Order: sequence, then C-alpha cells, then structure tokens
Amino acid sequence: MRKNYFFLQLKRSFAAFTRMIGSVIVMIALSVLLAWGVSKSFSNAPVLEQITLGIGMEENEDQTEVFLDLIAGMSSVESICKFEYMTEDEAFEKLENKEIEAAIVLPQNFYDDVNYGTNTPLVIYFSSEVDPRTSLFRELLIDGVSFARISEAAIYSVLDMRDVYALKMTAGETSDFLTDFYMWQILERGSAFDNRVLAATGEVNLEQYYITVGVLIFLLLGSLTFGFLYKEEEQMLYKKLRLMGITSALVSGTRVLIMAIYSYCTMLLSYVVGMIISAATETFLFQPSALVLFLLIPVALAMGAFANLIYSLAKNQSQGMLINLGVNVVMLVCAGGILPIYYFPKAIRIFGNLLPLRYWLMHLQMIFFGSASGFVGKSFLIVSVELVFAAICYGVSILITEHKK
Amino acid sequence: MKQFGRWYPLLLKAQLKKVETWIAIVAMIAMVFIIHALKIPGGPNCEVAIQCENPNLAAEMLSRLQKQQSIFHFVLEDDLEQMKLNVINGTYECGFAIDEDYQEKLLKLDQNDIITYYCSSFTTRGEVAKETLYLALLEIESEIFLQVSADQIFENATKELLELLKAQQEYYLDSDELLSISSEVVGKGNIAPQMNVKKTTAPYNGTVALIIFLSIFLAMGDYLGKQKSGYPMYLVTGERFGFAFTKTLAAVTPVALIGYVLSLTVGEHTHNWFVMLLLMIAMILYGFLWCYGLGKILRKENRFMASLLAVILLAAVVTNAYIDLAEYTPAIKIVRYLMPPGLYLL
Repeated sequence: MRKNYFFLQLKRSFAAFTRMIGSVIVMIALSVLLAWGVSKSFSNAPVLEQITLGIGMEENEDQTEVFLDLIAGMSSVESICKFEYMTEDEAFEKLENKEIEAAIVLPQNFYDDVNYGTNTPLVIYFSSEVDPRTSLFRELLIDGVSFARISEAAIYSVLDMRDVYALKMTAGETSDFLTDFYMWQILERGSAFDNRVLAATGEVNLEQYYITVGVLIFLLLGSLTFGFLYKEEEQMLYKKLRLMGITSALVSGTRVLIMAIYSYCTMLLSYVVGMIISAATETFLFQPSALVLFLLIPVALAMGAFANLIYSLAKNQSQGMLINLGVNVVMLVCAGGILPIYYFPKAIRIFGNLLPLRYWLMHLQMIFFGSASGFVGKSFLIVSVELVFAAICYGVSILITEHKK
Repeated sequence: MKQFGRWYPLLLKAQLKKVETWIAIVAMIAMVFIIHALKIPGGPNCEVAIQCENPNLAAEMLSRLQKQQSIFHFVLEDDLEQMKLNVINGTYECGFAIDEDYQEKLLKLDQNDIITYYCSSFTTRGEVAKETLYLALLEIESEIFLQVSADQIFENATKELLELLKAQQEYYLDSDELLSISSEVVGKGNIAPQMNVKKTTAPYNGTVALIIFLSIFLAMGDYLGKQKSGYPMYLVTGERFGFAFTKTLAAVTPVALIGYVLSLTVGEHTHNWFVMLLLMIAMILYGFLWCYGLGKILRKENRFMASLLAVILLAAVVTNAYIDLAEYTPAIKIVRYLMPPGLYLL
C-alpha cells in the first residue's frame, strides 16, 4: 500500500510536471537569461582607456628611443598610456586638435644629459580637455621623475661629502656603484610586490559562479510547481489515508522524495549538458568525476526536505507557494544567489552564511567544478552536512504536521 | 458601484488578516533595504588601504605617502581580512599589506615580496597606486642603503657622516637642483563636459512594481480558485468582473500604499509624486486586466498558478528593474511595456 502510494504520487507529480513543461522550459530560459544578464553587467568591468602621449624629439635619437621603449613597456605605464613618437611641431598641432592628451618635447641629446648628470628640466604639455585619465598619467609621471630624484639626491649627497670624508673609490666609480643599485632597485621594483587578485566569487570564476546560480534559481523556483501536493483537498485525503496506515511521516517522506528526484534530475542534467558544452567549446569548466552521481543525492534530499518543511508551515497551496517564494527570494538575495555575498553589509553576510542556500551554492560548486585534490575529503563533508540537514528538516516538518492535526 | 462600496471594505478587512499580505509588505521593505545596503564596485575610486601588523611601520609609511601630492587617498586599515573585503566590494581601489619585517629585509638589501598587493577585477588604477607606494618605499630603502653601504663607500663612516648624508638628501629633494618636470596646458581652456550617464535600471521601483504585480497575480489566482465554489459562483458575469476587480484592488491596496511610500522616499525619483501615483494606478489597472485576461485563457487555478514563476521571471528580465537587456536587444524596449511592471518604470 505504501509503495503504491509513493508511485501514485510520483506519477501524479510527473503528470503535473509534464503539463507544466512549457512553463518549465520558459523558466529555464528566463533563469539563464537573468543569470547571464547579471554576470554580463559584472564582467563589463570598467576598463581605463589609455591616453596617447606624444613624444616630440629630433630624429636619430636612438638611445633616447630605446630608453623610452623600456619605460613604455612597464605594466604601470602600459596601463595608462601609449607612446607615439613625432616631431615637436606635430606634437603641438595634435595637442591643439585634441588628437593626443599629452606631449613631452625632449631636447636634443636628452639621454646623454641625464646620463652625465645634466638635469635638463622637462615640460609636459596637456591638452585642455582634462579627465581622470590625465590625472592618473600625471601621477605616474611624477612618480617616475621622483624615482630619478631620489637616486640623484643620494648620489649627489655622497659626492658632496667627499671633500670631508674620503671615498674608497673614485668619484666616477662611486657614482656608478650607487647608480647600479638604484637602477636595479627601480627596474626590479615589481619584485617588491606579491600580487593577489581577490574574487568576489570565491574559488570559482564568474562563469562557474553564475552557472551554479542559474541551476539553483531553477531548482528553487521549480519547487513552487509542487504546491499541488499541499492543496487543502489533499489534506482531507490524507486524513482518510491515515486510516489505511499511511502516516504523515510517509506522506512527508513521499513529498520529500518526489521533490528530491526532481532536484537530482535537474542537477544531473545540468552537469551533463555543462560537460558536453564545455568540452565542445574547450573551456573545460566542469570537473569530470563519477562521484558526482552520488554526491548530488544528499544535496537533492536536503533541498526536497527544506521545501517540504516550508510548505508544511502553510495552511494551503497558495500560502505555501507564497511562503516558499518569499523564503527562496530571501535566500537567493542574502546568500549570494544573485550577487556575491561580499557586496552586502556585515549583518546580511552573517545572516546569509547561515542559510541553506549558501551551502548548496558552495557544495554544488565543489561538485561541479571542484579540483581533484581534496575532493574525497570535501565529499565526505558535503554528504554529512546535507544528510543531517535533510534529516532535521524532515523531522521538524513531521512535528509541524502532527501539531496541525 | 454600490456593490463595489460594499465589497471593497469587507475584502480589504479580510485581506489585512491574511499572512500573505504582510509577508509581501515585509519582503518588499526588506528587498528595498537590501538593495540600498548593497556595495558594488564601479566608477572611479581613489581610496587605497595600507595595512601592517606593526602599527608604527604602517603609520610611518602613511606619513610619507601623505607628504606626496597624490591623487590617491591612502588610509590605514587595522584588519587584513576587513581590508580584503573592502577591496572586493569596491570601498578601496586596492590594498597593500606591508610585511612587518620589511625594514629587516631592506637592511639585507632584499626587497622581494615585502608588500602584498590586493586588487579585484574592478581595480583599474592599482598599477599607478603601486608606483606611488613604491616611491615611499624607495625613500626608506635609500636611507637604509646608504647606512648599510657607507663602509663600502667611505674610508671612515661615522654616525655624524650618516646624519649629514640624510640631511643633504633632504636638502636636494626639496631643491630645484634635481631632475624636475613642470606642466602646461595647450589650447583653449574647455573643460570636457561632464557626460550625464543616465541610469538604465531601476532596482527600487522595480522591486516595488514586481511585488505589487505578484500581489495582483495571487489575488487573481485566489479568485479563480473560488470561482466555482465560493461567492463568485452566485454572481452574474458582469458582477463577477466587478468582484474580481474589487478583490484585486483590496489585495493590492496595502502593498501598493507601502510601495508608493518607498518609491517616493528611496526610489529612483524619475518623476514627481503625482506622476508616480498615476503610474502606480495605471500599473494596477493594467495588471488586473492582464491577469484577468490570462485567467480567462488558462481558466483553471492550477494552470494559472503554475504560470506564476514564468510570469514573474519574465517581468524581472524584460523590464529594466535589475538588468537592461535593451542594451543588447533594442526590441526589448517595446516588449517591456507589455508587462505591467514596465509601465511603472516608465
């Protein structure tokens, strides 16, 4: 009898689901579109446009050009500006016409002057259109000149002392010794920084994050289609079924299993389709592993049990769907389902980290995209957490159902 | 009209007793609050954080940075994790964590990885901030280098010599005797006009509109459910339409009132209060007709309620509540007004 009841409900759910297949397909498409739209607005991060710096100098200034090419290749310089070599007249003409944003006119033998200690003053000319990129470029230029100034200050200071304090080397050798140190330090200044890029999406990239979000949106919103299991007329039926030995535990268990089957099939299908697409496009976003087939089971059970718990709080189908929708929306917003959780204030982040969706998001990311190392250990964690959560939700829903009677 | 006057207060009273009404109101207020509290990076940012386990070293670095005429505003951050979080959410353009042993390393003339640079995918000025920070570091390095290598350079390196060297460096750095750069502006002094970038999304008003539309939809679903077994069963066709409208109006009144207040206070302020009120009323009327029409097509409550998700998602996607798809598909600009919330976001 109990087995018949379960298969009957499963058949009804399948029939209800196929009737709603049109809506389901539309929902998938819209969920994907919403997730894509949000991720697109994020991946279109502001890019600082380079300004064009005109270098006005005489022809045959090969050493100067080599030196300037070296500077132009530095990452900080490259991120702000690109050099364009031209004559002095061309530089001023282009500035007037606003074809370039800034220009430096280098005097003849500028490189030799600097090399031999003649501090020829530099003038940089800016176009009259001032914008933030120009300010940034000005900052970079001042920084570069300041590096040279610090080196010169040290060298001149040492050489000034040679009249009072005897040098071990000649003035020229001392100057070379100090120049080598400062040149080396300045050219190798990148080594002073250990670069770390922080991602709001955690250990996964933006595409992987929003793939998981898309799947979860579909799962959560799809659970609303199971509201028919909680109609008021169904409640009358269950009272009669109870007399036939079908207890509320079995009824709840059936509902949990039905919703878990739906969740499992959806997640598995997403994984398979994702694997095929990423293999075809050679992006290899998904982690191939047979363990996925088993790891998705506890996650599906937890989702089914949670949805059942929420529905059990309501008096009827409409109320159940509304509460479910409200809870799902709150979870999607606060647990990083729409935007990464780091963008929210502390109170919401703390609240979001307590919500089940947070764990489903992390676990689904681990299952779909997790790296091979540490996978087994993480698998055990996923299974334990989800099964315990499912058991608690199931138990509480039975208590609520019994209390309602 | 007489019947409307009779039905409306009764239905409103019943609606106010329903949990769903208060859930919708609370959800709307919560969503608006959350959107208001969101911190998403974007736009120009010149705040840069400095952090060091040793507060004295951090303060020294900060004072050197503040002496420079920089476009960046350097701030001290005590907690590394907080700094990282603020870099992710865009409070800071980037952050620098200084190794508390950095002076010991510089004494050995080793500058490798003495500063950890944290940036996010939204950081655009980080490379320039690094140069500005390195300038302060080079000043410290220069002082330390001369101390460490004084014995290599001079026959007799005394403490007095080191003091003199430091003073002489400071003299030169403040003087005009070193390489210098000045700037001039060429051309007429037009400051580039500030482009007013119109915001294309309306998350506050969009949230209000979607939740009001949801309330209309659920009210219609409830009406369809009671069509064959409740009060509407005893009404003639014309009266049923009136009853459906009154029921919807009663259901949406509390939510719309709160929504209207929220739109006026924290909303996008695209129009004045009167126009917003007209748009709200137009949306409610259009929403009712839209849902009534859909109910007539689908007929049964089950089918109607099953389309709830698709309809709400469609409204969220097509209107410019959260994303503006019209940027990629201009036809969306016309399609969005087919959805009632699109009218409120006019």
